[in-house]
Amino acid sequence: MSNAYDHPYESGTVYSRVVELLHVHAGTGGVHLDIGCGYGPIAEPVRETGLTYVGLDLDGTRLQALDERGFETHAIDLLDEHAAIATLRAALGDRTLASISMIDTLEHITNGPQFLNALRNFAENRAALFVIAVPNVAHRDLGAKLLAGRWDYTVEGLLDHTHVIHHTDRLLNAMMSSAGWTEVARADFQRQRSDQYFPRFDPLVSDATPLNRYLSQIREAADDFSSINELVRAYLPGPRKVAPLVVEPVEERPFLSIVMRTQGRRLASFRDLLLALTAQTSRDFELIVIPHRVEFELQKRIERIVEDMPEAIRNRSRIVPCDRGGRTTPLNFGFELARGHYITILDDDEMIFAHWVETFQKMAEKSPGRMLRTVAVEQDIAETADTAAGGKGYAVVGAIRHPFPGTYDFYAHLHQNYSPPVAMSFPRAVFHELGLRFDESLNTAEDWDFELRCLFMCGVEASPEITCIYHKWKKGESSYSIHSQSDWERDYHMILAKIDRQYHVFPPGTIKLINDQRKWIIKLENDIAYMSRTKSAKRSVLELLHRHPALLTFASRSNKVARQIGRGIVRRLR
Amino acid sequence: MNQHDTQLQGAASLRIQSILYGNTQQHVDQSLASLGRAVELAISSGALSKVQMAFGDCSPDPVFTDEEIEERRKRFEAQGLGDIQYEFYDKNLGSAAGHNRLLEGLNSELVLILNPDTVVAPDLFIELVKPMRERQRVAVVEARQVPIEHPKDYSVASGETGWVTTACALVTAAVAKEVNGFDSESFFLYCDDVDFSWRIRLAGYKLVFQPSAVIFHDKRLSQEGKWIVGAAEEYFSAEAAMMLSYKYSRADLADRIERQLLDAGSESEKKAARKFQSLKESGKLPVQIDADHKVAQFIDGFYSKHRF
Repeated sequence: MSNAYDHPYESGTVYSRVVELLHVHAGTGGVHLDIGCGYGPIAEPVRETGLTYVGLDLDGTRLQALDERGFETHAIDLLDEHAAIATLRAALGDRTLASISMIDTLEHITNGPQFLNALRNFAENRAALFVIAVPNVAHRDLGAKLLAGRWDYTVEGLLDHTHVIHHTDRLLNAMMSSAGWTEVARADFQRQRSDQYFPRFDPLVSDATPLNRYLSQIREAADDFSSINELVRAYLPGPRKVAPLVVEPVEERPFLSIVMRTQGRRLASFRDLLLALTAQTSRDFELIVIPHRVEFELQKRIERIVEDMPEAIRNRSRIVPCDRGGRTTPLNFGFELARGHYITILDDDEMIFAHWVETFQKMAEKSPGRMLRTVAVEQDIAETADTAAGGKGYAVVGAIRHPFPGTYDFYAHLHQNYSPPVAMSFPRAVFHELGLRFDESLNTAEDWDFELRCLFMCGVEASPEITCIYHKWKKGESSYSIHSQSDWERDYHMILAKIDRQYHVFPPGTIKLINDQRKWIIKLENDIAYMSRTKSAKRSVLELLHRHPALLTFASRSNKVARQIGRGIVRRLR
Repeated sequence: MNQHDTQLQGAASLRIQSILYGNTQQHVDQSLASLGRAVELAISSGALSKVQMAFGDCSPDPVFTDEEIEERRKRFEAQGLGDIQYEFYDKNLGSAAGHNRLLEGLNSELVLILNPDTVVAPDLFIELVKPMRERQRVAVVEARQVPIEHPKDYSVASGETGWVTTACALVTAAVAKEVNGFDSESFFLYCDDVDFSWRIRLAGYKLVFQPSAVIFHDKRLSQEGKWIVGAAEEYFSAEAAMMLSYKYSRADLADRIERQLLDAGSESEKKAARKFQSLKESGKLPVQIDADHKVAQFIDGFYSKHRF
């Protein structure tokens, strides 16, 4: 359990991060208990902050070294948490406890949760700051190497061979909050290249290779800890929360979360859509209604419409207003709240058939984790006078059209979107685990941007089944009418440029497609060159004749004479 | 001269009636749950006074047992929908005859003709009764259907329309009785509602389409974006087209349809044309009405002008 390493205190290290947290958040008087202190690298800097440093460790040699530097020390065995707490009480005596630290120690003991719990009891009514530092095994270097089956224990570092537990941000959070420690600050220690950055020329490890960069792209988007070497956090005693340390493989979730943003201007169509949800053949869904920047009175009307629905829908619905951002903001807001295995977007002016949810569900069963795509038909609608539901009504003014293809063409979608969001459903994990977000800098085509990025990660499961109606406003406001052509073009190019800056996985068949297209391009280039050569030869002769009129007259006469001679010969032959 | 005053003065009593044919309990329960909520809101708002639900079951096997109906009576009682009647006919009477049989025992002011594959909006009844409260001589009010809206035309100002679909239509009970319900002799499955509508108009009443009253009617499209039409649907639809034309004094049109179907129709359509021929030959076609063509319209194969 002791810190066996003699690393001096330096700025820009884990130790300096710990001291930084103590300096900012702990008091300037009282005792600081450094549990698992080793050689006590933070002893002097802690003393400089005005605290009384007390080092505790099992290793007598290190304690003695600390003693000799003039610090109070006590032997402690953390494997017996009750005895360890008794040691702490005795060491503190009647003095005031200001703070506690535990650097590179928790990962060495098998009774970590029990010890943290006992320490929380010890800290009851003491308001002592507790700073902890543990290695982060979610560093991208470890993940990359594990793909090739490498999990390299080392003498020290992220995979110190004496570690008995490997911490990630999630595990540490769960351990601390279930023991009753509330995080108040963090100063995580970052290293782009960890001590596990070896073998240096391994393409999985080297950050110069496309493979490593692609993996890093995924890892970095997932959370903020891909290059965090050490998790350094400060806590205060707080309530104990239920936070399981062992993850259940099967999660209790609805199949689908439906994120419905509304500005409350189309309450008639909003109400119709709730009715269509009531009629779904599968009710394995939750509905999250996001009134976006609406006045309170309007929000009350939205709530009233939901409240009027049958119990089965009311109980599946949440109304969570979002008062900030542009039209993309409520999507991120709603996706964040979503609990379903899959998430879909339903705008308040669209319409769905009764098997909309059921079809998504069947497709997800067939290809779990893939993006799901059904087919939408299109129909024109127009605004009508105010309705009983509130706001403008709408009327269908055109027959149903079938403009979207029944199959999903991966490459065609890179050029243009053929899949309105109402026909799509996204695995929850792309948002909650892989960190994919809607780009809030876009005012248009934000759905296409999200779909493309999701497509590269998840692939797509497509069904030709028509499950929804995409309504186009012939009269009334829509995203087509409120944004100019230049807005659309700007966003279109931004999206393509963004996608093009990243590494991607393309489906099998791509190489053939690229080669076939290259062949076509070469053939076309040759044809164009030939045509241009033929044209230029004719053009050169004509230009020469125009530059020399005498020559032109001669040529013209020669042509005439040659024709006359020709005709004469033909006549004679007849 | 109208025999009945259709204008509603206060909360009205209502019978909702549906004909079942091979529906699942889950489907019917979904419909009942939406009706329960709509009845609850309608009674509390003063639109309706009391409500009865009546099912006529034309399925080969009963959809419900008595115990199951009893369980549903208890479940929906608190919402005002505890009076649920259920009769198993043990025979496929067809929609028109099934509804007529249910109409025999009718003793409410209003009757809602409703398809069982529907889910109704919570304010359905509140919106449906409005035209009957506000205006005179409105005998039928039709709800708007989603997800596929019917394209037939209506007056945006008054809501008046040439005929109503009976997927969901609120009818003044006295008027339904006055016109003797549906013509089940002539129409088994289709056009019974067109005929019903036109006879009500001939009797001097108005039909109103109310866009704010909404039902979800579980209709779907084929993968090509077309209506999914089965052989039975094709047969009865073709038969009904000829019967309707003939009944409304357009024998010329009925004959033309008959010829077209015999020349170029599908097998089902040819069969329907032969049936019509045989009825004609045996003198069993319906008595012709609307000789002056006051109400009947035949426009491009439809029974009114279409909006799109």
